[in-house]
Amino acid sequence: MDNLLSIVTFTPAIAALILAIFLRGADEMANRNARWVALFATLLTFLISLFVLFGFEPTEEGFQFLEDREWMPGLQYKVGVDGISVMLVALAAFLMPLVIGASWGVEHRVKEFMISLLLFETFVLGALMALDLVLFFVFLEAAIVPVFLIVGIWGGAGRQATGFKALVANGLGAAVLLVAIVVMVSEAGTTDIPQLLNHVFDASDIRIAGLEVVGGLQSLLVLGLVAGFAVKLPLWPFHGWMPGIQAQAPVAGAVMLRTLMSVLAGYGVLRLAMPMFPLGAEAVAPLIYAVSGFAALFGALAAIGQDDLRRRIAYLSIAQMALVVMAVFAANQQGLDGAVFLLLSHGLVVAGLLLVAGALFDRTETTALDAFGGVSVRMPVLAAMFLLFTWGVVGIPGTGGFVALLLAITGVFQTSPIAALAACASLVMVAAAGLVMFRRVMLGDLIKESLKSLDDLSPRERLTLAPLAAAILALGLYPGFVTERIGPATGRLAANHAADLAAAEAARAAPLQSAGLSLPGPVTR
Amino acid sequence: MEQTLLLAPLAGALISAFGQRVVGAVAAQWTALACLLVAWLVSIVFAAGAGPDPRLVFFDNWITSGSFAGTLSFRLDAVSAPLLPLITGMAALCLFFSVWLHRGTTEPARTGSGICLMVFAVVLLAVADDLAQFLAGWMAAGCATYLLTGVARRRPSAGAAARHVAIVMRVGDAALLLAIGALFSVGDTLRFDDLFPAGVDLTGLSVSMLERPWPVTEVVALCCVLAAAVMAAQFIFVSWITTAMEAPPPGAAMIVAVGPLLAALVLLLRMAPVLAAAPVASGLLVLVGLVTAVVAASGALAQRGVLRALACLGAAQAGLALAATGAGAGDVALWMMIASSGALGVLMLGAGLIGAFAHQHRTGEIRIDMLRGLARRTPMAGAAMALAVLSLCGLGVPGGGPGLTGLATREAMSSVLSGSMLTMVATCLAVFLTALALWRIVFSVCVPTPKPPPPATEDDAPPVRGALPAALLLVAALGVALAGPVLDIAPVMDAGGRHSALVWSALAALFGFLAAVLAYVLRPEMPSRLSSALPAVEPMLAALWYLDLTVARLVVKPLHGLSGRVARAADPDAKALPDEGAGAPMLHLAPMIAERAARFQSGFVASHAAGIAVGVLVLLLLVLILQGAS
Repeated sequence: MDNLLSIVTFTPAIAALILAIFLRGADEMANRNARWVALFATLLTFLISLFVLFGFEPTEEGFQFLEDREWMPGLQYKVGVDGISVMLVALAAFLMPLVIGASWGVEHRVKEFMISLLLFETFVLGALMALDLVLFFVFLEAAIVPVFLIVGIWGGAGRQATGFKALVANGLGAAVLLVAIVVMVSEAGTTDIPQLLNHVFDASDIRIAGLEVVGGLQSLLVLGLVAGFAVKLPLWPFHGWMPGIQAQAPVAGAVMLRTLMSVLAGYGVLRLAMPMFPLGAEAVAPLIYAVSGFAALFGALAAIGQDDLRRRIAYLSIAQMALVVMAVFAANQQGLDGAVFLLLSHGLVVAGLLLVAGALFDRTETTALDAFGGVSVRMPVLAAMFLLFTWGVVGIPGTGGFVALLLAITGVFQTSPIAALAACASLVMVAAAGLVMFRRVMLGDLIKESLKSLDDLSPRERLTLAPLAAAILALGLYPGFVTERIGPATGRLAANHAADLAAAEAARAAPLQSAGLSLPGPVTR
Repeated sequence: MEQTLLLAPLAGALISAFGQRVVGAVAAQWTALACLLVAWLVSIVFAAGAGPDPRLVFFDNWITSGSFAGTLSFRLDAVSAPLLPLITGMAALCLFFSVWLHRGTTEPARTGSGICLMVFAVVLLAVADDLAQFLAGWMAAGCATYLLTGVARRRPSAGAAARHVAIVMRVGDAALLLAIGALFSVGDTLRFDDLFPAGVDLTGLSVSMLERPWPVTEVVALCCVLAAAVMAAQFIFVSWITTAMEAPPPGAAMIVAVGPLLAALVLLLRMAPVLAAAPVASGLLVLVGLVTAVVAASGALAQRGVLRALACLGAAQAGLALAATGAGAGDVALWMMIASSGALGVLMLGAGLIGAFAHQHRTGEIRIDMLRGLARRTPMAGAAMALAVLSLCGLGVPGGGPGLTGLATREAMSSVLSGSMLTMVATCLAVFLTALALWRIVFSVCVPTPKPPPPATEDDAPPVRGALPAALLLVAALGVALAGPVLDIAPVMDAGGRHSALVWSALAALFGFLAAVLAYVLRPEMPSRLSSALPAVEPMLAALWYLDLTVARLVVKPLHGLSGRVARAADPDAKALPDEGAGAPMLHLAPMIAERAARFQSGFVASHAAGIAVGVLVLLLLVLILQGAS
């Protein structure tokens, strides 16, 4: 089938269209139909995405399932997947039915809620498969709109102020990204991502306001792209908008923001920032390590200080996403594999934690940590799930987090031991934040009257959480399923990066060698 | 067959945790016990059949990323072979006691799954052929310790202790991760055989940090020393092991006798070639081990809980073993840990059994003063404990003569650590304090006192219900005490100085015994008098020389303060006004703008959508113009 990717991408959008056109009224029957149509569409999307996943041939070079059509004059609708994107597409398609399941209790404007979710899925999938820069940008920025809709209409009492803050941040991020993309397109003369990957951007040093920029345009573009994506990741110091909005968002909005938007942003760094500008990436790597190392420590420390469950999860997530950026800029196979693994593991684990927080909020209407204690007595199944997800964040063996952290830190150590040290220090604090969170909610005696009548997870909630738990364990126990698919793609990225650097080094050394001089060799190995 | 050794404990953990809904609680526990017994029998077969050359069985690839190849394998060699029967056998005994002591409660399910998981973890790392599998076992051992410590989940102190243990152990995990990163960055492999001793020559290689090269051997060795110091409860991380004694006695016995302490030793033994090439790290290891041996053994004297006292002694014994490893005598360290682990396990289970008669086994702390004379209600348990103590103190003819297990290990260890006056004095001091603390426990349990024990009820009639576990304990104690001839070690007797070290260590053990007789049998009022005369000493020792307090002041409190500050910086009004805030510097004006803009805006989504539409329009125009120009 030649247009499998488009079918995957637009199935949710078609379902959204069907809901918008054909579903009338806001009675119980209409609400039920809206839920079932959305669930069916997302499940169907997941099913079709499995054809893509299992039809993907990892050993083949380049992008697969390619579709290339003219979209509008001068612009292409070009989509395709490689080993990296195919796994992330599967993740997005896997998470969305669970998000729908977790939102089953929404009663207000259900049709619009489901339409927002379905459109969001289309935009996310589209961005992950896009092989055209403009298409990628359009899908990426469009994906924010349903999230804001969901927060703005179905969010908590303080949604307006936090929403505005998020709007300012994302607007600035989008503007920076836009500028970087415009410069890229004007320099390369194409919006085609595979062509951009092969294009050699100018890397000669330039001076701006008296400051010499090593790596020139490449360095500036890397910084621009990272800054643009950093808002959505989010990475310190661009994170301020996120914890607030997450605390106000309904569970679906929180999952969409913290998992899939972060995945998109991480994918952007991995697909655009590092491989297109090898010399720039190399030049700014120390700065990126410093910022992401600090961000990892900052996120973990800030998580320890949070008294709200959702805010604490948000900061744990910030710490993990900093590790993703760090691992990408390690630019070796272990780092890149670790980054993709972290994106996958983070998506599953944080979604699980947020769904747990949502289940608690549904019952108690609060996520303040002080409001809980001893919940495991009444909710043993939820406690078991919560513990597993917490272990996933901490990176205990058997979960995907373990594999991700092992690969990421091994990769980072090869290029920056100090950054690896910062990452390891953040792991200790993440463990402190995660385990204290678990203890304050679940352990101890059940004293609070308000908690003594809690019911454990309903069958629907179990059906929502169980696949996440199974996926986290599957990632940890059989990581080969992922590494076999992503390995060739990340291996090529790492090899190309090393080759580009070697070529630049050779070009730099040539005049010196002709003058009878030589460059100092690397210290290690 | 090899898979059985890993899969049986794992199956036991799963059955113990989840099987009760299928087959019932009792059947689930007995099935888990059967799994451990199978693993024990298999491990005996392996240990008996182990030859001088390592035997390697490859199961499957696990984590593959370029040259990074983590496998699941089974490596039987001089390190893993003797450990396997100890790990599985002690675990089976602990699980039996757990089922026996906690009949009618839900604790056996959680304790049982923790015990089985611990066995799986330690076996996994002991038989690991590469660093990925080793790290998995290492972290799983920490995880099992966390689970066992927090078994009594409704007791707040147990939850807090479990959290404490897990966080401290995470420091060790991080250190080991760094060591793995360093080794892989220079060796490009994870396999022990490929890394050393005949593989990559690490000497002369360096890693670049802070603009200067650092010898990779020292970096790796220091990371390993830190990881081992955390896991084996060494200076300055000693206090986690007393905190972990919130676990029920069988779980506590697993933690002290089988779990993290053995894991730490295995790490150092596997990394012995790196340690040998890293004099700074090895010296540090000796120092840390000996300081811990003295600090922890003296701390044991002031503990009121029997499990905590024994945990301190476990850390002290591990300290001596680690010091021996640092001095280059890994085989001595291994056998010493095997001997002491067995004896300490017997002591902890015995204390748990006797504590059960005082109804203390479910309170989280078995107080030594409440056990006075209780051994007469289960003489076999008392005898087992006394035998274990005799073994640990090294009863026998000094100088390589016949004796119990501890004699050979103590003499070998003393001879190894007699290199300098300082190490010899520290070793003798540790031996003296250890003997004193051990005999204090035995005398407390066995010597009847005027103070009557708590009245027995019909419900806990001891002679019948405690007979079987006590008999098993006695058999185990006999096994531990008489295992001496199996040990493949002997003291180094090639110099007069070393010979005197054996004499001094024997005297230290004897003086420890005599001091205990004096303080706890002949003059039982002496310890309390000493305590009154020197009021500052007992609290200091009980707090392990205030290490816990120091670490709390130097690390934990500042960290909490910093985290609160960072949290406030990230969300200044996170508590008071959850919807406002100014996280990023660029957004400091956002709340103010938001307040005013909210009056005018009809919907922020519309604004954002419009902004995006304008942005996309600009982009499209630019692209079209540029393409037109080209």
